[in-house]
Amino acid sequence: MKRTVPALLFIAALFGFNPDIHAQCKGFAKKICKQELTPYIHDGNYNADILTEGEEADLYKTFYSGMHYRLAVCGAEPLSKIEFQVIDAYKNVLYDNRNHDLAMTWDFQPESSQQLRIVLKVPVSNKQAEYPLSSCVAIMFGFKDK
Amino acid sequence: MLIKSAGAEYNEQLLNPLKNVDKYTTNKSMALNLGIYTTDLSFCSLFDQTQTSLSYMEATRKLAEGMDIRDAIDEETMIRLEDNLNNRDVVMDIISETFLNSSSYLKENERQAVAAIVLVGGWIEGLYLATQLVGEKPIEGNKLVDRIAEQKLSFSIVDRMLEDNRVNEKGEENLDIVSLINDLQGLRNAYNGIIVQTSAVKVEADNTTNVSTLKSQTKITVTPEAFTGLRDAVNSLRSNFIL
Repeated sequence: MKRTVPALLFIAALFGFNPDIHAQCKGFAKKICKQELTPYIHDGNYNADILTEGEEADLYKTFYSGMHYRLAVCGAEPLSKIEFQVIDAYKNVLYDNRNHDLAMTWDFQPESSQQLRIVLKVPVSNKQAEYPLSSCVAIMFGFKDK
Repeated sequence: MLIKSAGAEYNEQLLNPLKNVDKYTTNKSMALNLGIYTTDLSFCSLFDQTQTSLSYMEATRKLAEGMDIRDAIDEETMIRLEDNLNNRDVVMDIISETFLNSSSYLKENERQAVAAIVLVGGWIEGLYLATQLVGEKPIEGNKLVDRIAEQKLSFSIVDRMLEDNRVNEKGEENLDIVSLINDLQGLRNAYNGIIVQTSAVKVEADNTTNVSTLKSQTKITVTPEAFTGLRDAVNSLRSNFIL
């Protein structure tokens, strides 16, 4: 299953299903994932959703020349580390965290403004469970001027 | 932030006047103007206009109440804002949280389409402020004009989001979204006159700084006529939104 999360300039784009779970997801994005952006300045957007093992989500965002960015992808317990790829408009994979020990962050600076696609995937864990595991996954962005 | 880094200056005359808040009675106009007032709020906070920020926060609270977004902007939020008016970072944080609360509340209650309309209102206001701030300055080599042209890239994201919300899970068409898609046609036409070409990206990793450079080229072609057309389209759209 794949979900698309639009990311815009100013405002959060969050998906919600179960309100109680969602409240936890909000707290996770705000309290845990945001810390991964330090020392970058949080861009003000909280993108988070409840995902299940094996599920994918993607997000499109415009990044501007003259800025440095940090992308942070976090998964709450009991999920394993989240896989993510960054893809350009020509479908070239620019970054794949599976080649970097499933790193949670990636720092980059675009030479020119670009719309990029970020694809997240929750890997299926080896943990014995009756049902596939679900939890909050957040993707957040920080920036600083050059 | 993009506006400020592109060298723009604060101009309060550009904001949607606070007295307009009582005009917004339909779901669509309330949602659009919640987005508009929040962008205005971010704009004045960015330039440290503390008292105006507080007034705009009050206006967003009024609209949020009208839309039954309970608790998104409560008394505690207003007190926190007042207490931190001189600390821009905290103020921006409070604004972000307010949107987090509003947006998630709407989506928890199956009002995703309304959340999308709020986003469009905020985006259009950002475009309006930016196009107005260019003023009579030449467009060639103008960083702010380039930033505005680059919003063509974000427009495709806006279109995709509206299409995703056009029909609800029961298969019913959302008339507010349909009318908003139509409202944006003039802007779509105006952006067709602006060319933004991006090349494929090559990644250059720096193992010392751990910062990767995305090497690519973007060619932006904006004629003075195309820019004027875009500014007029944004102006007309925003005038319709603020009523």
